[in-house]
Amino acid sequence: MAISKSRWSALTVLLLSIASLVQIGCGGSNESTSSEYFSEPKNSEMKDAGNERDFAAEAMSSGIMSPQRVDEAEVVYEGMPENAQRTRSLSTVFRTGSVQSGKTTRTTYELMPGEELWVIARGIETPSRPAEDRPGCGALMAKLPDVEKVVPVPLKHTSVVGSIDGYVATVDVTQQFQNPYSSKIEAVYVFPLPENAAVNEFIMTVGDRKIRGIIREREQAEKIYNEARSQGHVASLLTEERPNIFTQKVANIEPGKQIDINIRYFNTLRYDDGSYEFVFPMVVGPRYNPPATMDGVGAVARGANGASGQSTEVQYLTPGERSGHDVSLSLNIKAGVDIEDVRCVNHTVDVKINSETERQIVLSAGDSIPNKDFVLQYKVAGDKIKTAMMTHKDDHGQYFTMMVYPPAELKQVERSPMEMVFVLDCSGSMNGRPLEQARAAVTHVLRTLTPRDTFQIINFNSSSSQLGPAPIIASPENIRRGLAYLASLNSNGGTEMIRGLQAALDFPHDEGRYRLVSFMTDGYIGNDPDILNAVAQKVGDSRIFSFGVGQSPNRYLLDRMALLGRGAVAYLSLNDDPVQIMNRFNERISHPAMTDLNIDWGTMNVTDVYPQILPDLIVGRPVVVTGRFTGEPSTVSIGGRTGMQPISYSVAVDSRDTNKDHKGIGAVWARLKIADLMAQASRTPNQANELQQTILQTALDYSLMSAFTAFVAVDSMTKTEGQFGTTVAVPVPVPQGVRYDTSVEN
Amino acid sequence: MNAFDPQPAAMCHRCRIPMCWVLLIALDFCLMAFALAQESETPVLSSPVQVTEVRIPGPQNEAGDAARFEAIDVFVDSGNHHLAAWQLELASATKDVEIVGIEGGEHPAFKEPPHYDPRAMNNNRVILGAFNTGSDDELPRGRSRVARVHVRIAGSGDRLWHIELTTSASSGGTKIPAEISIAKAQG
Repeated sequence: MAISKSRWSALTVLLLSIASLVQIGCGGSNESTSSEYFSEPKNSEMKDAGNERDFAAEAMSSGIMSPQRVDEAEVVYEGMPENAQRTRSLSTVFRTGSVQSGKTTRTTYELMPGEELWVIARGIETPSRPAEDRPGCGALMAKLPDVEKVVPVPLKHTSVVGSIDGYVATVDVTQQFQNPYSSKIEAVYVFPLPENAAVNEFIMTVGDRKIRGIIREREQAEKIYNEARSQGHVASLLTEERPNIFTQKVANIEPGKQIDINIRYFNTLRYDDGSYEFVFPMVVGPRYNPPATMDGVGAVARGANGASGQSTEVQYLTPGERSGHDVSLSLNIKAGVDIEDVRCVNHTVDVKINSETERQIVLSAGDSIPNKDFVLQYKVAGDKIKTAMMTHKDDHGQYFTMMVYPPAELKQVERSPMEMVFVLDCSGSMNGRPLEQARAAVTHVLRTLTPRDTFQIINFNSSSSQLGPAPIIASPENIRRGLAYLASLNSNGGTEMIRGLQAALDFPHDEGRYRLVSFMTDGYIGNDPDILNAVAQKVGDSRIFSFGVGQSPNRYLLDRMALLGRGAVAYLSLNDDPVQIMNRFNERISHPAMTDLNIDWGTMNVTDVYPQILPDLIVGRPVVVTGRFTGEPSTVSIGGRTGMQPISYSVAVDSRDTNKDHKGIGAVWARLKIADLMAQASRTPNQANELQQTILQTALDYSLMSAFTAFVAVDSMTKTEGQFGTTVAVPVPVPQGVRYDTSVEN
Repeated sequence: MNAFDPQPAAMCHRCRIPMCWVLLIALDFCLMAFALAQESETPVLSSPVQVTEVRIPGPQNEAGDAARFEAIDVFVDSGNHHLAAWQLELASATKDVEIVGIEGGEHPAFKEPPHYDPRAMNNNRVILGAFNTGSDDELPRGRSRVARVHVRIAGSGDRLWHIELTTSASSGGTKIPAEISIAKAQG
């Protein structure tokens, strides 16, 4: 009886899976948790001043407690003769504030013999603002022109080199970490990537040596990193906090040394009304987390480690501060069809025309501050647009990705009356120009409504309010009312998006009208999963069109909201003309969508298609479908309905398109599968464990970042002296147009 | 012969040995043959390609009980041939080893960290491969380090490694003879 090699492998995998499950069950990490520090103290500890000091020092050194002003609590015993049987009177004196200006409160308690009084006081937190020379002295600082203050940070430069083939991008991101201080550091950088980025390569460069990172189950990778860090090895760890937010940690960077991290990802581009759009986000916007949220994304001032209490935290530079961190970006486009026009929404770029179908784009050196998304749109020749398919074959099988365009007939059909609900984010982060843009956009759409339609305006921040109890007819008078209401809106406070969502979706649907909900928001919330779950539960027959406002909106949230709401997403930068953007929106909603899509793949035997629930086809916006196949592509038939009328059309898949091979398609497919399974897991908690295992195995098989995997790299040949040093977060600027004082916790 | 005398055992007619002994000996031979067949079917090393086992020494003292990080250098000796492509499998015989990084070789042609097959990657097993499309004068000959594998090892003591060179080819794509070896990387 011989056991084949593959059976042994399968057996090994099975055993390892069991081992990892056991590790999960046992809590694989050896890290201390906060509960260890805040467990109920024993009586003896409470009475022992020495122990209390140790406890506090331990908590402070762990980073759980920020250094804070010490308050005083005195206990004064009054009238306490020895052997007294009567009630003892205690006065506690609480002194807060500084010694000079301290406010004193005296409280008296009556105690019976044998009773104890525990005084538990919380100090006033004063998050430390590090001196410029932290964590050691002797920071390498440079004064740049036109800035008030330059802050040394452990991230020197980010280089982005992308190439686009058809509509699939391959992007190499290199982060150059350095230590500008005089003692060893661990650098921590929370940064964004596109929400559909299939990150599948990670290389750490130490000197002239390159070490490829290994994809591991997240807990295992974190354990390896923490061990390597504590042993003094140079090591790095990349984790995913949200599909578009990642944390990079680099341990044991010695003074003056540089360590580079290279990340490679693939993603498909968005196509919108004749233009492809390449987006590279440069900064995570300051997120609001509803009370009791612990796994959100905190936004705090530079140096205020842990002040938000969230599992992920971004530190922001104060106005007038500037870090030396800058960004360079270059992009090669091979469109495959003639390129008619190139437009960069937020940045200045140099465009070199290599041929009719190829362009080289370079970000201008004077526009290198990473405080806004890089958005490049290139218009391709309209008459050559067709349903295009790209394929790839590797050891795992054959993959395809196909962009399905809506049929031309869709433009001939008029829409039905609408119930238009506008939902405006009026929170602190929208203060100023973002709200102005949103207001201008809604104003324009309001003026295009007809008396056949109804409308409602809802705004939310820490609470929500609305124009009236129900949608009103879009008569000229009511539109004037609506415009006046819009003009009265101000922005401040938190982003309780759930309230806006409830107000928009929790009222009876007018059966005679097509309900369309337009969200105008920057999406700066830390509880994205809660909001997306609520959208999935409440959307019903409504369609959601989300508008991302500002220079660096939360594209993951906005894209997913539109996908779940079977609508579309659009972005309204501060540099965009709101009228132009909303005219495009009006054009889309002026015709019915093609719903209940189904695809007959003809001679192809297709499996594992993502997204599994196909979205509606809307005028001007194609749908990207990715799957696995065998056989030869030829003609594909697409069927569906417009209103009650069935509609179908066939597309001959051009052999020249199918011959295009892109090695990233397998990774793109796996990433879409993971996104789909994550959404399923979120909707069906009873299947979450099973789905999590499938997600984990898919991510490991395709070497992909996910919520459950992480890249780790350890240089075992480099061992630095001593402990791992000080952990330094890379502070980032707030996105352009966002006010620091209304959006960052101070 | 009384009632308590044992019955005479059946005897082999040729060698006069009791028949049950013959059966037992035959059974032993079967078991030995089965065991040998199992051993020859080593799980990780079933390829006809040359397989090598190497013992890498580790600390024997108590201080070595904690996890340690070290690196394994992988060498390919292609003799007089220029090496343009290679693929190998490296596996630890024990499961307390985790691969935590893969570095390139010493020759410029293989300086970039080689790729690994994620599906074949276990904690203690990896399939690595690299190629270079340069001309012969840009490719290594003789013995050259092609990769360095960084590992985390839990506990003290030596570790046994299995290595197998599955592909070695010239710039023309022809298979060339080559030998593989590993050694603990020296800082």
